Amino acid sequence: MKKVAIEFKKVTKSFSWYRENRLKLKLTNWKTSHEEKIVALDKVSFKIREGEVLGLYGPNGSGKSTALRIMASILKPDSGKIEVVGRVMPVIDLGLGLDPELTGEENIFLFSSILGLPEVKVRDNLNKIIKFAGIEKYIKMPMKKYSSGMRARLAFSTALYSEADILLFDEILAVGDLEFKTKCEKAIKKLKGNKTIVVVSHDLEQLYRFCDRMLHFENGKIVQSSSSRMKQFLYSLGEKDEYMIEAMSNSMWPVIAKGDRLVVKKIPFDKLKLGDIVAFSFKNISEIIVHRVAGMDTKSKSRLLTKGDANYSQDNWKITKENYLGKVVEIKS
Amino acid sequence: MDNFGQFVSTTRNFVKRDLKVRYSQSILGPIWVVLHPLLLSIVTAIIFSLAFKTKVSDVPYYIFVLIGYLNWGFFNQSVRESTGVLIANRNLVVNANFPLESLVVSKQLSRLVDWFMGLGIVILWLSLSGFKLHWFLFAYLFVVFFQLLFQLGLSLVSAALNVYYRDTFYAIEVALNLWFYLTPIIYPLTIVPEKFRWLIALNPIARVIILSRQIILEKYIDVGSLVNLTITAMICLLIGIFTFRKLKLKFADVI
Repeated sequence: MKKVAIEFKKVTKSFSWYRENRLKLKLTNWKTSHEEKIVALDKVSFKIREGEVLGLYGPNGSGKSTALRIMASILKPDSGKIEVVGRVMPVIDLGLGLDPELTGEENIFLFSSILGLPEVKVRDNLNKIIKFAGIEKYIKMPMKKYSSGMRARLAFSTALYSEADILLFDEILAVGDLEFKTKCEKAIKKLKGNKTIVVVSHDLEQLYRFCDRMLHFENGKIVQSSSSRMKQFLYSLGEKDEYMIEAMSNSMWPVIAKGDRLVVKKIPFDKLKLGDIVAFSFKNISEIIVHRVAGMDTKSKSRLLTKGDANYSQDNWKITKENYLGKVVEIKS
Repeated sequence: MDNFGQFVSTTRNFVKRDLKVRYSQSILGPIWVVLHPLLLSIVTAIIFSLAFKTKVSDVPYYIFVLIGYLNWGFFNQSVRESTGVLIANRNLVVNANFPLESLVVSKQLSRLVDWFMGLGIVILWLSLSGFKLHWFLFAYLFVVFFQLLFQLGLSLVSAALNVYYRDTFYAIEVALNLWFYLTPIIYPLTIVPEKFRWLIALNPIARVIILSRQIILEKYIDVGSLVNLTITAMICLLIGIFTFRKLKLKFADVI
């Protein structure tokens, strides 16, 4: 069995507004009856083995990014123990420290130094970094002329050619076009087994495409650890849970285009209305289908009929509580 | 890369960034480095020598003021910029793990580059004004080195405190304004009444400026004063490093 690369032992981390403002409160004689404290991580324990790709998933404020920052030694825990074996490269914000006035090349060196990459190694890999980012033509231009996707590509490429043992990525694949995202995913898959990778994302489907294992965070705790198939995991989510998937076809065109990100919420099946866009699946197919509720099955009230906006003439798909995966509550182009 | 290696690398890159960004959208670009203290000293010289009839022994007043401004500008801009540097780079503090001291040190070093360019102008003016350049001028570098250590210590404290209490930035602004008038930059030490001289003696920047003028204009250095400056600078730097290291553990939590 491979060695442990990162281990959290009952790690607790809280953020206290009172604690950080004690002096101000004393000076202003402001009396508070309670200490306003946010528990970001509550006695969290887990292990990550060398070469493993782990996905951290959960709603905003669930503690996954705090866990990542603690792994990177940016935050210190209140209690508990962390063991990290190997050199850690946190890529928590693509574009971190990039300056709009500097050229792409100058920014590669600036970003690399922030990430802790030796300049000699960056020089050795400079052409590869630029080529992977696909910005050869613009590398001598000031970064203020770059699009946000170009900036992200440059930053990701720089991080990719680091010599760290552990790579930490926080929502890094939320930017850039579909083509670049696919390229990044392939690159991460290539690193599997050689480097330990931890990825935080809201896009559950994306995480399942390249992660070996998932940790589902909620209110500072791990509520589920899963290495099982994605659909089983999605079925198991509670009513308040939200997750994100990416549209892989144009079946809901023009409302949803291929590449759009869809926020899906597990609203109770019996509360669905005509016209709602829903996600569902079937045992014999691997994909998640996203269609619009077109009517109720006359034979059974517990069944809904759905159709895709782009292929409305085709037959209905029938869904029940069992294969229903949630309602699309937001579409991000 | 070890921690020190990363410190050197980030500092170098931040200095490069500061120098490039500072004048990137201005027409005159880096010429401002020289022009800024020069114009300030000319304006001050005109006002004080004409309006107030200020006389400084046998040294032209503009030279006297220019030396004062050179050191003061280095101190003032370094401390002011360093105080706000962590807040200005909040994203880096929260999302990256690198020696945060490099942000403060880089501000000092990028202003040191400005100081060197200003020194070139002072030397040029001295030559044009008939002063003979002498090897003793190299002693000036020692004085500025200890000024750098002193202001680095002060900046480490003010930058760290500013993360916790943003009032620090405003307090520093006011303090620097007051400090300017309590330092013999535009006036000679001789016009300060005896009973207030202790204030000047307690002021390390006043000591720096007086020593600088001694070296450049009189080919002389008060060794006792230099030793005093050295000790003050070292103590201030140690306090700065200690304070910064202690407070930085919670920077990402509170910023």
